[in-house]
Amino acid sequence: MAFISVKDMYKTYGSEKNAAHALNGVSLSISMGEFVVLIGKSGSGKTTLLNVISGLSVPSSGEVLINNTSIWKLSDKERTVFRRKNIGMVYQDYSLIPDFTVKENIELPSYIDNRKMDVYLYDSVLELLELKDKDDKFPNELSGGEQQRVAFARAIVNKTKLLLADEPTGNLDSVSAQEIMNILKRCWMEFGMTILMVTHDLDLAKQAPRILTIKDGIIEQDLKVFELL
Amino acid sequence: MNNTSQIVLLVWKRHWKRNRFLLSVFTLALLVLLLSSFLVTSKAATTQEQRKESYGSWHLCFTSPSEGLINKIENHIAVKYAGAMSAIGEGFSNGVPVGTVGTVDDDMIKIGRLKLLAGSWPTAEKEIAVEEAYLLRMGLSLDLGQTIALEVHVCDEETDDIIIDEYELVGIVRNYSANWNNGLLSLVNIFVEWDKETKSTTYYCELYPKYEKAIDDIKNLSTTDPSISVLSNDRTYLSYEAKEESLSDYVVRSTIALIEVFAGAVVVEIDLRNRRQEILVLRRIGMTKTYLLRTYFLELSTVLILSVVIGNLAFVLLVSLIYGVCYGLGVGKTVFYPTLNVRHYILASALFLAGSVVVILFSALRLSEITKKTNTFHEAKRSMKRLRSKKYRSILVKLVYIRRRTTSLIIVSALIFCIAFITGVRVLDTVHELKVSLDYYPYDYSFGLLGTTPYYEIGEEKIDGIRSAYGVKDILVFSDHGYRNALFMQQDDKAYRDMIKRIHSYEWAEELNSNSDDSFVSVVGVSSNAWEEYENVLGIKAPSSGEAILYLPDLVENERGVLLCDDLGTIDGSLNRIRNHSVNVGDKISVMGDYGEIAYFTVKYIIYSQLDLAPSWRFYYPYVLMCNSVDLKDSFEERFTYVAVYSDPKAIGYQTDVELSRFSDLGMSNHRLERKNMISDLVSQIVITAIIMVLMVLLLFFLWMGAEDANGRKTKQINTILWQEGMEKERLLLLDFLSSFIDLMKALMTGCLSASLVLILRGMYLFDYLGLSSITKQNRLLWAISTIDFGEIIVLLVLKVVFVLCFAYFIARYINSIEE
Repeated sequence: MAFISVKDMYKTYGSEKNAAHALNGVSLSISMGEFVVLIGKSGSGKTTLLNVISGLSVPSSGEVLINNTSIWKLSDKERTVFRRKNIGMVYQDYSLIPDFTVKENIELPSYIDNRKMDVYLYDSVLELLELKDKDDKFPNELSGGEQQRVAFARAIVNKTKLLLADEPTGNLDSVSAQEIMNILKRCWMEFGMTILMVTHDLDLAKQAPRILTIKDGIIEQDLKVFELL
Repeated sequence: MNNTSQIVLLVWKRHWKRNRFLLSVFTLALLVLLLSSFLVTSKAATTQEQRKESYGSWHLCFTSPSEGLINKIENHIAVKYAGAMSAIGEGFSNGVPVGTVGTVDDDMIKIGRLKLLAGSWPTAEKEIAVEEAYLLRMGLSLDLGQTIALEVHVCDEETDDIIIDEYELVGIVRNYSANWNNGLLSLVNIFVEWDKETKSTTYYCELYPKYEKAIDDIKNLSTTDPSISVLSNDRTYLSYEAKEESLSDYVVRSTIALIEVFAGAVVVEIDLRNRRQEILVLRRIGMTKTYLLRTYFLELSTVLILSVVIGNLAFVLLVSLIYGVCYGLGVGKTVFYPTLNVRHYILASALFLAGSVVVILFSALRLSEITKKTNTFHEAKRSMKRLRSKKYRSILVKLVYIRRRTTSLIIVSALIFCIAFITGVRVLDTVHELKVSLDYYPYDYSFGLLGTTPYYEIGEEKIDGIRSAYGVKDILVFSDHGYRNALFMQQDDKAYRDMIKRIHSYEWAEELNSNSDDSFVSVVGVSSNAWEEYENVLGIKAPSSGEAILYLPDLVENERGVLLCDDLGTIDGSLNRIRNHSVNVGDKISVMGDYGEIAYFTVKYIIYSQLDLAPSWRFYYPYVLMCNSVDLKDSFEERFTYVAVYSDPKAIGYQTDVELSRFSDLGMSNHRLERKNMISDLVSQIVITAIIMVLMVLLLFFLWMGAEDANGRKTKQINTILWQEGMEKERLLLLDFLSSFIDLMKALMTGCLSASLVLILRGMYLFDYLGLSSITKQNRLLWAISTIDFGEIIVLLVLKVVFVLCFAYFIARYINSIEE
């Protein structure tokens, strides 16, 4: 049974005259525990699709079902709460609050959700992501790779079932990018998360078991790893 | 067009959104400055104009002056106009006195502000003009052309002429004599054309405003002839109060000017912050410091000049609108008298321009410093240091903290709140005065309180006359029977005698250690119908024969040995209170009568404060209070009588004024008219305060919005992250609201702190210690702050907090944005 199901998704920006069609009837299905990479050129609609799935960007039409919940039928407040409890997001620009320390940034979702952070999980994730001695640093004091790891730590500690990553390696050198890819793989294998990653780096994409290619707002190909090999 | 101009134009185009904010703030700041100055000046002029309309614009009048004195007055450099009002005699109609018949010249009409409601002034022998209420009193209609039969008893000691004739009514004069009457002036009610000599002429003169201070010189012109009495128009020219007002207005205007300068500085600072990155890039691509400075200065100066032009145009437009409304609707001068001093406003604009140029120049000089400091590494280091100190605070506190505004913005807001507090207190001050007037003078008129000597006696006949006058509903009579020797029968109350000695020492500079064992008390009588109020307040029945209420003043001595009388129960309780006498209810007092006989009274009740309706103007002196009906007059002759008159609300007010003004030898205090003036003053004060406050709030709003634009990117970025991490939009709004609220509360508290400080210092008598007591006495504002009710201040603060809540909500709505 599909964990994520997208049906006839359309997304248009601008008015009728200058309309830009970012998504042109996308339909896809991702099972629980899958690791999927979405690749495509700039402007192909990757990030738009990710934002529509995550509930951040309102679609023009279509339906998104996550764990059998049609997120666009929820109210704005219900959708936000659903997102908070089920979806972890990682972005190219890390999305860390510069005025907060590493620990505070990681703790933020728990604070927003009015619950205590799992300290044991926090320690082990920091250990895993080699951030143990960095938890009282501010984002500006960390390297790009370290900042991205903090963003991942935030998503993992929050125990979300789904991780959406929007070009998480876009700002990193190849070594750091590979490190992030390794983290993603560990998240998938050790924490059993369902992962949808957007990238334009084919080398990294090849490391995922399933790849979706998108072009002009339509899913062009759906490749399993053995097909790719 | 040279390169610099081209760059300025280009920058103007590119920076239009940012410059629009600068332009709005500069324009609004100038508008607030000019408009507040205009409104304050106009309000003062309106008050003065209203007084002139009611009491005439004359400064001095001379009764029966000689030809020589008239010549001296007319030729005096300080005299603008001089006019005469001559009383010919008393007019009678069907044997009933109907008013004073007389004549006025043209200058007198001008300086007396005598107005015709209809028709014209008499020009021929058989023509008359009559005050409106006097016509009504005669039972006549207000139709012009009617014939009025009059019997005029000419006031001439040598002859006893009575002129009986019929006159044609040619004019109806607006009532004035009831307002002017102070018991000393001979005022004409029926105006005729008269070319013969009159015995009773009063010569009035109005001075040029610049020579008003020389009023004593003009008064001295008559010193050679003691038969001439000189009166000054104290009702129009309240010089003492005018000075007080100008001092507090000066404080208000200075604070407003300070706000403008500060607002300018803040706005330029915000602009500089916005430009940091741009300045850095321009420096990196090789723009010299001088070139940068010149470009920046030119751009801001253009904005400034434009704002001065727009500000002045907007001001002229608004003032024209006010003029149009006032004069178009025909309500000018009395309701609102717009006073425009063009030179003053040009000077204010020039000063604003100069001050702003200095601010811009100063900030332009800081450009190079900014380029030095705008280094990402140093910036980040500074930021880290600041944040580290907040590291262990809760996430909520940090989220609120990182949304904080600039300190300078909070200071400007604090100043604006300070001025709001001051103007609020001023409005409360007027409300307070009105309340006091209503509490202490609930009746509409009073007689007999003009002198401190028993000069104006009111006999039974006059009291009956007042009681039966038109529009009079009820009267209360209080009589003063003098300060008399008294003795306590039960015990020898030395403490009481010491208190009397202390009062005498303070009031009359008598030797405190005098060996005299005399004890005194004033004797005050109250009419039977007035007892009802005492019964309500004191909860006791009227004293019967041989009983009295004893007033013992609550005397307080401050640190400097000054004796204060807590007549209103407002003096600080920590001071030394003199209340150690052993007088008790049930004690007997013996008081010496006029002819040596002794009257005995039993103390039925003791009151300590004037708040308990004690009807005495001698706050320091103890007195016994008795009901008039209790054979008071048998033993004590009346020294002074005070009559309080309640008018019938259904009666025509001005006609009651006229009826009561017939008791011309008594001097009437018209509380009804004073209350009306106070209410009108309060309304205009509220309107002006509202206009200034609205403009101030607009200025504040622009400033905050500008600061938000400068910090907007960061707030938006943080809001977006929080939203992505699952924070609901309502909670984000709450966060923005909280941070704005805390900042505004900081400003509110800082703003009110200065006023509170003055209050505390006043309470500590610090001004007295510093020898500045004259300031506190003369400054009405400080007086207002020190006497105002704390409850009222709390209400004022609560209102401001409510305002802050609303304002913070609007700011939060404005800044609350996320990238969806």
